[in-house]
Amino acid sequence: MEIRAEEISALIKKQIQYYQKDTEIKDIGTVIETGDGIAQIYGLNNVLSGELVEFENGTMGLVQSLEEDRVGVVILGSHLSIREGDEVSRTGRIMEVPVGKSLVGRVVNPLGQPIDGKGPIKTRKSRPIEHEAPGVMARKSIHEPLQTGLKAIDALVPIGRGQRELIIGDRQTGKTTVAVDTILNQKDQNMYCIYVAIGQKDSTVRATVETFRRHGALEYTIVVNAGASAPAPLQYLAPYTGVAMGEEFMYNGEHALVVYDDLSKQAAAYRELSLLLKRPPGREAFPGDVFYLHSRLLERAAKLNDDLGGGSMTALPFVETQAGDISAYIPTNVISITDGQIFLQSDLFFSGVRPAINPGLSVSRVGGSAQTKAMKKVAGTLRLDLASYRELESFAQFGSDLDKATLQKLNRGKRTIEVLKQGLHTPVSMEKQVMIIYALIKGYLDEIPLEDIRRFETEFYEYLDAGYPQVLRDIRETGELTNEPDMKEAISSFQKQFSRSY
Amino acid sequence: MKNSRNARRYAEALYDVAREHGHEEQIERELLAIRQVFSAPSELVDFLQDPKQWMNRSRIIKSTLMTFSSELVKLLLIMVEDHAEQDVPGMVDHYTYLINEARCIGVGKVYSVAMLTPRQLEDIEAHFAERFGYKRLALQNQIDERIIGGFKVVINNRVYDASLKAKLEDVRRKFVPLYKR
Repeated sequence: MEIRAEEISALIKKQIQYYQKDTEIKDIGTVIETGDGIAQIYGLNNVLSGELVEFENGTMGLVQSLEEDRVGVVILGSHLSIREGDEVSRTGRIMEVPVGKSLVGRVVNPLGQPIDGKGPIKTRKSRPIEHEAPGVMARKSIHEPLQTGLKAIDALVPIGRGQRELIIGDRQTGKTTVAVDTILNQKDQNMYCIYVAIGQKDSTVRATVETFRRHGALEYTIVVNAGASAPAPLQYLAPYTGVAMGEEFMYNGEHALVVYDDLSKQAAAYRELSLLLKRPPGREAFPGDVFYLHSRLLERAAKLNDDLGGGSMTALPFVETQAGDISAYIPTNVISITDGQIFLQSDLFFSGVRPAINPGLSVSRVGGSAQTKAMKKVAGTLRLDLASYRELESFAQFGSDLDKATLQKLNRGKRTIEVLKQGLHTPVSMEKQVMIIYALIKGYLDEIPLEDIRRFETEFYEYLDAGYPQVLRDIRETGELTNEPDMKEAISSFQKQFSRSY
Repeated sequence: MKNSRNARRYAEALYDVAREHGHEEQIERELLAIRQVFSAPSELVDFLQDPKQWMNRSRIIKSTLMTFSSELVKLLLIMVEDHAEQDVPGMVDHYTYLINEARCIGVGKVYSVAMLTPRQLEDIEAHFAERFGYKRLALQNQIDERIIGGFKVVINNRVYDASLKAKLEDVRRKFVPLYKR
């Protein structure tokens, strides 16, 4: 049997002739129980999991659990006007959010509605919030770097475009700062950023948005906010909204960076939802599918192959630990899903090492291949040096008569730590990072007193900008150490005119 | 139609047994009487649930329901033994639903602002039977002023909404996009 085009078009013609927009028979149900943003519905035969349903007052709901005689629905929006006995009808659609470039620069809620008071969003495009992740053949190895502008990350745990790098640490260790600085550094990098704030204070989010605005980062950033006062369903949906918006850029051959701040709050919201839906609790009272909750989200981050446009979506999920315990349920889950983690430690933070990155526990499983050659060359031994310094440091506390080589190593280690420190919202370009680390590993900083290192660094950058722009340009454009004699000359000439503070 | 799971189980079992013996219609008639006795507030249920009467329960049921079919009496005894007296009305409803499904009759309601004439009701039944996938419909007319105008047919959690209210809702929906609600 073959199908001929004429037959089909004749059929459609006939259909057009007799087509009339008529009310259809719809499946309905009745609310038998409601509260806490959840409604139990009787009826709604044939409804699908994840389908949108509409309540009598126009509020939408998302079908979450299908049981023998009832359907559990999470209410998106106000649940206060929903009463027992209300009628609920199927819509036959799954949840979608508006996407596209007109969202850039806006602050939206997880349903894609603007909350920044700048008027409606003019976009016709929308994407389903749940979408299949790209498969094996659709992907490509990660090879382009994502410059965070933080020396400690770009040198020690480099991130590539399309990677999923977890940022983990206790509260008040500067996790959000890492994300904000990373977003600030994406200016003119052909990157769209999506900052998903989950369960944060609205005042904090407001301050973050202000930081973006002040540094001109809002021009390429979308902020999705599900504040602490938002109902659990919205906090649960927020990351999926963010990823849907990022996918739109990725599948159009562009680059996107999605920051989920933070996923432990989303997991807690999902736990609340699941318990109210009477799903059995498991470890730490999380439901059984909390791993899938995060894996299906993070798996959607990818570097697409060239046939699909070569776009990428980088994911920076955050997880908050309690007292540095990374063996809790959510941290272990997300660590195993992601391609590496950046571990922020509070004792480092309070001893003044900021960003408080622990180089021993932080890894990047794929980012190395995305690092520029120049950076790879200068930062290659940095991690090992730091590790051996930490080891020596603990030994050196016992005795004072150390041999020269050990002293030298300790000296270099202290300076390395000092160089990796960085101020708030001051991203450093890749070429400058290369220059300062080059100066460090070649021993130019060994004679500089420890307290002068940071001043040396800032003045050095200014000096380079003024006196040796071609050296910086060479590194930026080729990504390699093409002209080492010039670099050495630049460093030593600056070193000569650098005035010590004593 | 909010029959509990237990009520549905009893109804299904009774229906299966009745069908095997071929007198499901007789049981249906008997059940209507039972439903009245058992529907809340029911003195009989209170009496049966009284701990003092525990020993007498089965005797009372047997003696009062002498003329009823034996399957039905046995089912009631089982239900009373299981402390499921309150599920009896639900069981009856589900039994009626099952037998009507087998007969391919759709039982439901039609809402309107004013009472429909028998002629109108017949027309609606005739027109919608096929659309709902039944041979025949048995609709009960009910007044609902909230629908403003037109009518609304509800059969087993499926609805055909030809009311003015639904049309206005449709208009509103066209003005307000999904993500703004």
